[in-house]
Amino acid sequence: MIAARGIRKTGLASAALLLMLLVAAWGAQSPSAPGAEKSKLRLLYVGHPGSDREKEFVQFLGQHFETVKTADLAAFDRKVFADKDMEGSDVAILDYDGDGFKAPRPMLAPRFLDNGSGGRPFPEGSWLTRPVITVGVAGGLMASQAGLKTGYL
Amino acid sequence: MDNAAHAESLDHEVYHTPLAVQPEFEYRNTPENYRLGYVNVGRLPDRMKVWRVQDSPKGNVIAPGAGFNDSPDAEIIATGLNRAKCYGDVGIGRQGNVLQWGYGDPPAQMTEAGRRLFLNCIHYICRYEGKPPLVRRGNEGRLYALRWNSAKKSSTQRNLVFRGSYAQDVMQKYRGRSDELNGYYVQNLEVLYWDQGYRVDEDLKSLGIDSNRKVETLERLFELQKDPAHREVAQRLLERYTDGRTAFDFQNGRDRIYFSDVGGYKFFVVPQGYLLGSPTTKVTPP
Repeated sequence: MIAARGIRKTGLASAALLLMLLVAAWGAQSPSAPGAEKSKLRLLYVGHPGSDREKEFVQFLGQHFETVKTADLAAFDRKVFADKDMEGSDVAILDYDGDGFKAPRPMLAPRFLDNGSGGRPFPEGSWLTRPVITVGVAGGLMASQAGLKTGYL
Repeated sequence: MDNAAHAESLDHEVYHTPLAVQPEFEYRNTPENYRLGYVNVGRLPDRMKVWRVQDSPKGNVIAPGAGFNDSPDAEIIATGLNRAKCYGDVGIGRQGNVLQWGYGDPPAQMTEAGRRLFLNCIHYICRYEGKPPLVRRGNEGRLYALRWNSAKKSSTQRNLVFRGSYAQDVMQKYRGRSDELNGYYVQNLEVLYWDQGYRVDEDLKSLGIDSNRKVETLERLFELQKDPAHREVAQRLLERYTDGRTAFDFQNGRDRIYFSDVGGYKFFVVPQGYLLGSPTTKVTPP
C-alpha cells in the first residue's frame, strides 16, 4: 500500500514535470512568447505615421525584431524608393492604411537583368536591389507600376 | 481576393523556417470563376481545401498566376482564394528582391498561421539581397488565353470581353463560336505566342516543332537557320523568340536557358551565380 502510494506520487510528479515541459515547448513555438529571443534583422516600416495601422505593425514587429524604424510612405509619393532610402535596415516593408488606390505611390526601380528597364529614365542611384515587402492593395499597385510579376492583376 | 489561401503545397521552406506555420484547414465552395479557364485533367471539386490567413475577405489583391513561375527569379508562396479571377492566381509571391503580401489586414486580424508566415517572409526575403528580378512583366501567360474555357462541353459562352487579348483576325474568324476559339487555343497551347493578341505559331508548326518554349526548340531553330530550305522561317522565328543580343551556350549553359511568356515570349539566359542559394521546393500553380 505504502509502495503503491509512493509510486502514485512519483507518477504524479513525473506527469506534472512533463506537463511543464510541454507548456514551455509550446510557448517557445509561439511568436508572442515572452522572453523569446528577438531577431537582429533591422526593419524599416514605411507606412502612414501616427496611424493605428502603423502602431499595430510596429508593435507586432517589435516583439520579434530588435530594431524597427519607421518612415513615411507619403514622402515617396511619385518618387523613387531606392536602396539608399533603406540604409541602416535589412528589410523594408511598404504599407499603407485605408483605400490602397488612394495610398501614396512610391516608384520602385528593380534592376531587371534580362529584359532591361523598359527605357524608363530613372536617375543614377535609383535602383532597388535590397529586400522589400510590399503589402496589400498599395503594395500590389507599386509592384504593378514597377513591372513586377507580383503586381496587382 | 478572399481571406484565405489554397492548401495544395505547404512544402516551401517559408512555412517552416524560422517558425512553424500550422494552418487550420477548412473547406469552402469552389468559386464558379475557377471553372472558366480550367484546363487540367478532370473537373474541379465542388469544395476546396483552404486555410484562413486573416479576417477580412475584402481589400486584398492578387497577381496573375499564369506564367508567374516561368522565370527562375519568381516564385509563388501562396495561391489566393478568389472569386473574380483564376484558380492559381498569386496571393503571396516573390520576384527578385521584392515580396508581395497581397493580404491587407494588419497583424491583429491575421490568424496565428498568417502572422507566423508574415514573419517568416521577412526572414526569407533577406536571402534576396542584391538579387534583382530578371524579367519585366510585359505580357500575360498563355493560360490566360483560355480563361473563358467552359467546364461544360458545348455550353454557350458569353461574348468575349477581353478583346485586347485576342488578335482581331482570330476574333473575326471565330466570331460567335467562342467554344471553338477556346478549343483552338487549348489544342495549340504549346505554340501560343503574343502578337497584338494571342496567336498560334503556324510558322513553328510548319517546321514540325510542337512547342515554342523548350530549349530543344531554340537549338533546332539555330540549326535550321543554316539550312537554305528553312533559313527564312527559322530566322523569323529566332527574331520572334530571342532579343537578338543574348548568346545561348547549348553545350555548357543549357540549364540556364529559359523561356518566359510574361517576359515577352522569349528565351533568356540566367546570369551566372544568380540561382545560388535558391530554395529547391516551389509552389507549383495548379
